Amino acid sequence: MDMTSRYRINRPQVITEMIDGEAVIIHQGTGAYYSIAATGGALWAGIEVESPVSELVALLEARCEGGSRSEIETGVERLIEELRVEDLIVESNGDRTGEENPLVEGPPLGPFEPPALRKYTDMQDLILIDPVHEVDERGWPYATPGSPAGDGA
Amino acid sequence: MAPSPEAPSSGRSLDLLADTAGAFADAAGRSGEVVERSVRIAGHHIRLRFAGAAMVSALTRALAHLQPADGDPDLVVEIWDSASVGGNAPPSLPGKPEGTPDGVRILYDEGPVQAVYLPSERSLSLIDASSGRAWFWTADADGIPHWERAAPLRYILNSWLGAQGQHVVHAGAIAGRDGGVLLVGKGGSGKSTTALTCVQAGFSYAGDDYSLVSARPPTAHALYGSGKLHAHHVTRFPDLMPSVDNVDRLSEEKALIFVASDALGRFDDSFPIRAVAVPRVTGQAETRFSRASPAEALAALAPSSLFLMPGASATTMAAMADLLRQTPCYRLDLGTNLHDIPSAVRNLLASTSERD
Repeated sequence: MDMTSRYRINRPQVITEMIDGEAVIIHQGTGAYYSIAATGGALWAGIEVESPVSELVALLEARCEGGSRSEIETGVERLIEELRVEDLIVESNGDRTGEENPLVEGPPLGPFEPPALRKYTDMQDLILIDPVHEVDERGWPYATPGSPAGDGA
Repeated sequence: MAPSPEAPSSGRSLDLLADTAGAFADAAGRSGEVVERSVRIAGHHIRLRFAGAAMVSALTRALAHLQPADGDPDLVVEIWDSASVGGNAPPSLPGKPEGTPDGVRILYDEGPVQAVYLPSERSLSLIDASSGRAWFWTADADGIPHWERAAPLRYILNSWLGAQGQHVVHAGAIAGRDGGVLLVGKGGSGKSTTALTCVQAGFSYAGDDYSLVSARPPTAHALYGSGKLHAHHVTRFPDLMPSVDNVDRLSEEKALIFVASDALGRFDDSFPIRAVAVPRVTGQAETRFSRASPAEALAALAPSSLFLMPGASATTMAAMADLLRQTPCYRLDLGTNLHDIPSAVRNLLASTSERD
C-alpha cells in the first residue's frame, strides 16, 4: 500500500457518527451498517480528516502501548482494504480537509489491538424490498422525451 | 420556527408544484367540499385540507389525540384521492423504474422541494418547505394500507419537521412519572410490546414505531397515537383486542390499534427523554435492564430510521447521535411475563434519577 495515499469517507452514500470513540457507519446504498471502536475508531476519525496512511500509522504507534510498527502498519492496511471493499471509503485526490487530526489528541488507547470492523446486515431486507430510487435530472418529474413515460395515472 | 428555505429555482420543481396544486384544486372543486383539520405538533400548527371526506378518517384517527390549533398555519397539507372525486391524479407520475422491486420508493429531492412516490401504493407525498405547502395524493382512499393509517403523512411531516429540528425516528416513546423512555430497535425487537404494556399501566404514550424527537434537550413530541402488533401476538393483550381496527384482515396485516381515538391511554404534548432503551425478546421469564453504550443504541436506532424514511440525511443521523450523547442508554431484556415490563421500565427510569 502506498503510504502517502489518503482516503475519504464515501459520502453521501455513507453516513457516520462517532460517540465515545466508537463509530457507527451506515451505507445507504447496500443497507449494511457497521461499528468500529478502539484503535479502529481512532483510525476512522483520522480518515474523516483525510490523513495519509503514513500519518495514521505513526499516530497510532504513538497512542498505543506495545505493538511493533510492522504490526500496526499491517493492521492499518488491512482495515483500509476492508473499508474500501465495503465501499465505505474512496481514495482522495483533493486537498486535505484542514481539520486537526483527532488522533493527535485523546487518551491513550491501551495495548495495541488490530482494528476490527463489525458488519451488520440485518437491515438489508428494508433496502432490498423497499429500495429508494433517487431520480436525477434525467428522470421524474417530467421525463425528457425518449425516456420511459410515466403512467400518468 | 427555522427561517424558510429559499424558494425552488428549478423549472421542474415549479411545474411539479403548480401541477399538483392545480390537481388538488380541481379535486376540491369536483368534491364540492374541503374538510379541514388543524392540529398542533411540537408547537407547530399543521393544517390538513381534504378534498371530500373519503380520506379524513383513514388519515386522522392516529392524530386524534393532538391538540387542535388555530390561527395561521405553519404547514398546510392538501389531501385527496382519485377514486372518490373522479380521476384527478397529479400529472406525470413516474412509472416503476425497470428492474426495481415492487416496493420501490421514488425520491425527488431538490432544495426545498421533496417528493416521494410509491408506485405500489400509488401515493405521492410532495412538500415545498419554502412555502410551507404540501400535498398527499393516493389513487383510492379505500386502498390506504394499515401502516399508512398508523403513521399517516410521515414523509411530509419528517421532511418539514426535520428542517425545524424535530425528527421522525423509528422508535417508540413512553413516559412515566420520572420522564420518558425512547425505545429503539428494529422490527420485532419488542418496541410495541413494551410501549403497549406500559400504556396500559398508565404511562403516557407517544408512539410504538415512529416517534417525533428533538435533541436539545432530548424530548419526545406527540405525533402518532397508534400501535401495531403481530396478529399472533395481539392475543396476549386481551384488553386491546376489542380495539383492533382491522380484525377481519389479521391473516395478512398486523393488528392496528388506535390508542388515541379509542382513549386507551394518556398523552402529553411532549415529555423529556430521560433514557433510551434497546429492547430485545429473550424468552426468559423476567424483564431485566442493564447499561448499554450510546453507540450500541445508535446502531439500534439509526439504520432503520434512515432506511425507512427516504430523504433522511446526515443531519438526522447527527441529531440522533446528539440525543444519545446526552441520555443514558440501556438494554431492556424483555421477559415472557408481560405484566412485569412496566415495573422494569419504572425501575429503569428511577435509576436514571438516582444518577442525577
